[in-house]
Amino acid sequence: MENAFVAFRDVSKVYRMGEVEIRAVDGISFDIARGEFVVIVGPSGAGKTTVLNMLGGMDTCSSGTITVDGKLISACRGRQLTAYRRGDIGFVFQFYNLVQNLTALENVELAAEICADPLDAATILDEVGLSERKDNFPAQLSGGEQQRVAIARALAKNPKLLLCDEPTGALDYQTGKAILKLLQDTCRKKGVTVIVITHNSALVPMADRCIRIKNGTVAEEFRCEHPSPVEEIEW
Amino acid sequence: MRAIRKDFYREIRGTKSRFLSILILVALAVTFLSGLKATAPDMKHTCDTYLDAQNFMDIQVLSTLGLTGADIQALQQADGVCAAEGAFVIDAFAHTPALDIVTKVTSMPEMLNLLTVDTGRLPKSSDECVVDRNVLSDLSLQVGDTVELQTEGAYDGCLAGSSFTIVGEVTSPYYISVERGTSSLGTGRVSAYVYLPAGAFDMDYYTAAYLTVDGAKGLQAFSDEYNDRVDHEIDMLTPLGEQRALLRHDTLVNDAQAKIDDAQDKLDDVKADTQTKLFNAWTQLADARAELDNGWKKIADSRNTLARETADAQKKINDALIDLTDAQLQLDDGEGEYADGILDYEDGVKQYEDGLAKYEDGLKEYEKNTQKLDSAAADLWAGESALANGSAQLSAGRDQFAQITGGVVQLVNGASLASGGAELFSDSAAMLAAMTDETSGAQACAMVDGILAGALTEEGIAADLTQQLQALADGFAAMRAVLGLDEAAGYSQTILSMQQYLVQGQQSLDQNIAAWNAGYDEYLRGKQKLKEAKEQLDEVKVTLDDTKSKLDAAEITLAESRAELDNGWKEFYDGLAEVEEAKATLAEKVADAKAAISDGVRTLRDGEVEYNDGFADYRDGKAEANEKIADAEGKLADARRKVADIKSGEWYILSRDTNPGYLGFGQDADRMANLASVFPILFFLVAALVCLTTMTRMVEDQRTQIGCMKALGYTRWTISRKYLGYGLLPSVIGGVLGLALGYTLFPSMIFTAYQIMYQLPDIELHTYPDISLWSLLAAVACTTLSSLAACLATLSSTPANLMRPKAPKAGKRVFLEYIRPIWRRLSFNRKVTARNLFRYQKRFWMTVIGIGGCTALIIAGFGLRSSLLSTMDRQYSELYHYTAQLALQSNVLPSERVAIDATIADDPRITASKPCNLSSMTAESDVYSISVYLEAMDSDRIGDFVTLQTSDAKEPLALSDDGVIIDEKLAELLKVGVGDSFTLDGDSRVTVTVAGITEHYLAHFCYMTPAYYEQVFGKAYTANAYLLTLSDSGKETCDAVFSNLMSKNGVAAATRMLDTRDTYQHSMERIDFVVVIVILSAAALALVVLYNLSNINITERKRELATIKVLGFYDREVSAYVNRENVVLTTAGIGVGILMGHWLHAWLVRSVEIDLMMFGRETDPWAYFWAAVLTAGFSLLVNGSAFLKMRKIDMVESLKSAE
Repeated sequence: MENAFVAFRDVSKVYRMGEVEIRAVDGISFDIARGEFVVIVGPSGAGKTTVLNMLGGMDTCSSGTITVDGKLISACRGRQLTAYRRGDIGFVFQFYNLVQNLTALENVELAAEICADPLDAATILDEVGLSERKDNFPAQLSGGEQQRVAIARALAKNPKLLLCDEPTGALDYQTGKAILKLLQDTCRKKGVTVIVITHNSALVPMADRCIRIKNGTVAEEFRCEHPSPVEEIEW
Repeated sequence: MRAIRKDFYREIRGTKSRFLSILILVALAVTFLSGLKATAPDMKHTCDTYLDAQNFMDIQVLSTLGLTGADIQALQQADGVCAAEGAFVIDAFAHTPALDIVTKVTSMPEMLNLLTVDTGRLPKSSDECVVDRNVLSDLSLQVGDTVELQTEGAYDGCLAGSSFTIVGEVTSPYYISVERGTSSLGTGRVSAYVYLPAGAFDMDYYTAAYLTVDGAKGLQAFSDEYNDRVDHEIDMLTPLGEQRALLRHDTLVNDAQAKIDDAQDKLDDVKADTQTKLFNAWTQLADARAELDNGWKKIADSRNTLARETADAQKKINDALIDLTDAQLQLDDGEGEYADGILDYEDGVKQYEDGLAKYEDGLKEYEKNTQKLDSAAADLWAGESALANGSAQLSAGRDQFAQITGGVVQLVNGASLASGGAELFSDSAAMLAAMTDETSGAQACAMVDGILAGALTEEGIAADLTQQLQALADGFAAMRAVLGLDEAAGYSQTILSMQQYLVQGQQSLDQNIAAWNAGYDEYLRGKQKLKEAKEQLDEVKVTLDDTKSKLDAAEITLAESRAELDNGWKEFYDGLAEVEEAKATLAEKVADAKAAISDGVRTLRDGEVEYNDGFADYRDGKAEANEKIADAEGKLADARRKVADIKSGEWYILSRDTNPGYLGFGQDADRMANLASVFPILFFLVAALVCLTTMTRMVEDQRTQIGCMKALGYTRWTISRKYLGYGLLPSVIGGVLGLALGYTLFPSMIFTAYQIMYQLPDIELHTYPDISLWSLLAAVACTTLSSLAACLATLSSTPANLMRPKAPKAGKRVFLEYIRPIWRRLSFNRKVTARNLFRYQKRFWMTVIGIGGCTALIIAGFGLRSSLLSTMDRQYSELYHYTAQLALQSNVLPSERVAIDATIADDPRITASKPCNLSSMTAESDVYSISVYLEAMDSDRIGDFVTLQTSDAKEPLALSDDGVIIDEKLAELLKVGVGDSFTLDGDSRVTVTVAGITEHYLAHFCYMTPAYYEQVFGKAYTANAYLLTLSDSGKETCDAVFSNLMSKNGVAAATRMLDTRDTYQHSMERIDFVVVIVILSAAALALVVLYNLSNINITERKRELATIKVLGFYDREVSAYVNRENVVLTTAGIGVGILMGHWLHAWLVRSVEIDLMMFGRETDPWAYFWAAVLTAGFSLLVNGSAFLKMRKIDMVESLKSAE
């Protein structure tokens, strides 16, 4: 897949703790096409967060190459990485990481402020179904609502890639499903490439592509031609 | 328990910066507190040790009359006196060819005030000396050189020699400050001191005595106990002083009186002797005078006698001459008479002969005249007959005429038929008829005339007649015409000629009659005359005969007279001869007498010359003697006055406080103590506040861990031990470190600065248990107790509660949001900042107060510095305008004052001067009493010398006769305001009213007018000082002017204001050093506080920062996200700090002030500026470090769950 949107080629990440070398990620390779809904799944400690960090420009790889939309991310450092995060990546955290001191709208604006081609914050919030809660502070919102704000914040930047780290991890079942639905809808309607990282294998069927990671390597990678809608997924 | 301990150590290792910042904060605070607190006691200890080592006096005794050996002995034996020593202290010039300086020359101490030899040795013989370093440096001398000491004035002759070899350089405990006191010599300022062996002095009394007091050595100098002990001893010695002073006075007076009495006796002897001699001389002179006068009298007598006798003789001669002259005159008269008689006689004879001749002539005349008369009578008679003849002829004529007339009438009648003329002719005929009257022809003529006149006009008779006749003729003519008759013409011719002839006849007849009548009268008169002449001739004949007989008698008389006269002449010539003889005799006598008198006069004149010489000698001698005596008496009177002037002696028993060095050092130490009393405490408070914040936050951050521990079953104590320990450890380490630094560094540094001004050995460092204890306790309490409190508060919650992440503090709308216009205009980032700031209000205020505190400390530091330094500028540049002050001696004489006035007026370098009365008094009110200067002067041109104005509004104050103007600090100390009164205690106690309060910084002044002075004190105002303005305030000009003034009697001292200013300025600069330390410490504190606060901020918001980093904020944007808050906090902190600093400075200035001085109360704007700049600078520095820290924040942090 020569024209992959995201391409990992023999990517390794080695942490040095004194004499000991820990290979968190060991020669991972995979490709992701534009507009795909990708689930990266694996147990705790498998290295999926490391993959997310490297893909999100929060960390660098020790070897191998990472290409996103033709840009060689693995060669970027410091400011270039920040620019990459700023322009290309939307991030959704497990714990939402909203700024407590800002209202929902303001949290979205916080992200929109810094990018070149932002979407309208209020519109985005409407789209994620928070029209009524725009002026509420995070503390006044439920977990699902907060995560919606977080997603809105990520989307407001109009990113090429939406990275979600256990987006349902801190949510109850129903809410989690609603969030996943939102993510899937976003992917479908806006054509944004969405990558969800989770330990929950139940989410695999809803993905266009699934990458299973185990002990720092890709255990399984497959494309699902007919992903299930979120409503059909149970866990 | 190992795990707990490990956790504790790891906690520390993990939060090194927090741990260190607490440690440093505590260390700084403790260093500062203990250091400043210890400095003042250390200074006093050091001074005390040094003074004790040198056996420095406790009491100094001075006496107006000096002190004798017996006085010293008495002092020695007085109760409570440990040792007493007398000393000679004089002022002298230390002279080198290049320069003179004024020095205090003191006798070498043996027991007290011992000297420290810096180089060389102590003197061994009386021509050696030791000096202080100023002598060597000022005069460029070295040990081994010779110095000349010159005394003058009151100290003249007090030194036996004048040249001394310098054998050593010493330091005296008596002069620990650079000030060496004042003198009446030179410029009035003492520059250095010299010590000589007592043998080098030539004085019979000591000028000072030094005492130590029992038990005082054990007490610390400057302490209340010490002061009480010494004051008590002074009180004890006072009666002794009075008694000894009286004794000394009496002795002095008696000695002097005895001397005066001796001198008086001698003088009296000399006086008596001189009197006798003078009297003798006078007697001799008087005798000589009498003799001379006698001689002159005799001469005068002789002259008088001569004159009188001469006059008598002359008178006699003159009388004789007069008689002779009379006789001559008589004779001459007689001769005259005789000659007259002769002449008369001869005249008489001649007259007689003339008379006789005349008589005979007369007689002949008479006879001739008689003949003549007779012939005249004959003529006369002949004339008479001729006349009668003439008259007859005339009458005949008339008759003829009448005939003619008659013819005419006939004619007329004949022609009566003729015309009217007939009538006229009838008239004429009538007239002619009338003329034919028988009366004389004259009458007839008159009648004709009358007729003619009636017909014609009135004319002269002849003319009339002529005309009448003419008319007649005309009538005739008319008649002829009428008649035609020629005959008529004939008639008229005839008539006319007849008429003419008749008239002429009548006239000559009348004339002849008149002439005849006259001749006849003449004849009668001649006849009469002849008769008279005959009678006269007869009389003359009788007289002539008589005369003839008289003449004969006279001839006889004349002959007799001649004989008498001849006799008289003979007598006259005899008399004349006699007189001539008398004259000759007189002249001879007078010449003789005059010669005798001249001789006498010559002799007397010689005598006079001799006498005058003698008298001049006498006078000179007397004057000389009197002068000598007056001189001696004057001297005696002077001596007596001096004795009378010997004032009842007075002892001044003075404590160490009168030693300028000791007093100044004590004041400096007190100022230090004042500074230490407030400043470090504030410093400490700021540090404590920050420690407290830090510890509280730390505990709150670890609530999860605390919950976990609690859940695991650890006791509260075990759990809180970690946090207690975390607080305790840095505070104890920091505290001990701080004490170690504080006790050593601060006192040493500060004292080193003071050593520039005070000659003292290096500082003795002490530790003070109380300071140590309190500062440590305070430090530990702030950190440990705050963490304990936070810990306990946290622990009161349930473990489950604790383990759940603390509900994030709800975001809320801040006040600012409700002001929509402003809020809308804020950028998004600013909104975030505002939200954040207002959200954590506690943190906001803690930070603001922390930063503000540091700013305030810096402001106070800088402000204090400018207050200290500007005080002298304000006092000497803006309030005092005069260059120098000249003090007069208290007993200055009016004449001396006039001379001083003249000197001031004549000196062109002195541009203005103002006399005033300056005295030192004690001002007392209910609350305070303090020493003040009373300055009384008139308000005229006062502004040229001293500015009196209110300190806030700078409104000028005028000196009035209603009260005094006092300085601000004095008003503050006495707690009096305008209109209040207070007491002045000096020679007398008086109450004065405050009329104004003036801006003033140095010492205390009470300004009043001379009028108010006299009113209040009830005594006359006299000036005892002058304020002088010089053209140039430079040292050289001042010294030149001072030397000139000091050479005048009555001048006590002259002070250059800039010198005084410099002295204070030096003292201020020592404090300045301390203030610089304060500023540096405050700056350090500010840095640590800012760093700590920023650190807390970042630690707390790590997750938030990581998130926004993940969102793609650049590093700078991330740091701006946080630092914007810091900038606002710092700005707010500076704002609060400026307010606090203003207040703190005002408070601090008052605390640091000593009673003697007021510092500038206004805070220098630069202090705010520097404080703001420093704080902002530190903030930037801290932001920089925060930036580095934020860069290091791991974004993975954002993925973790909230703890």
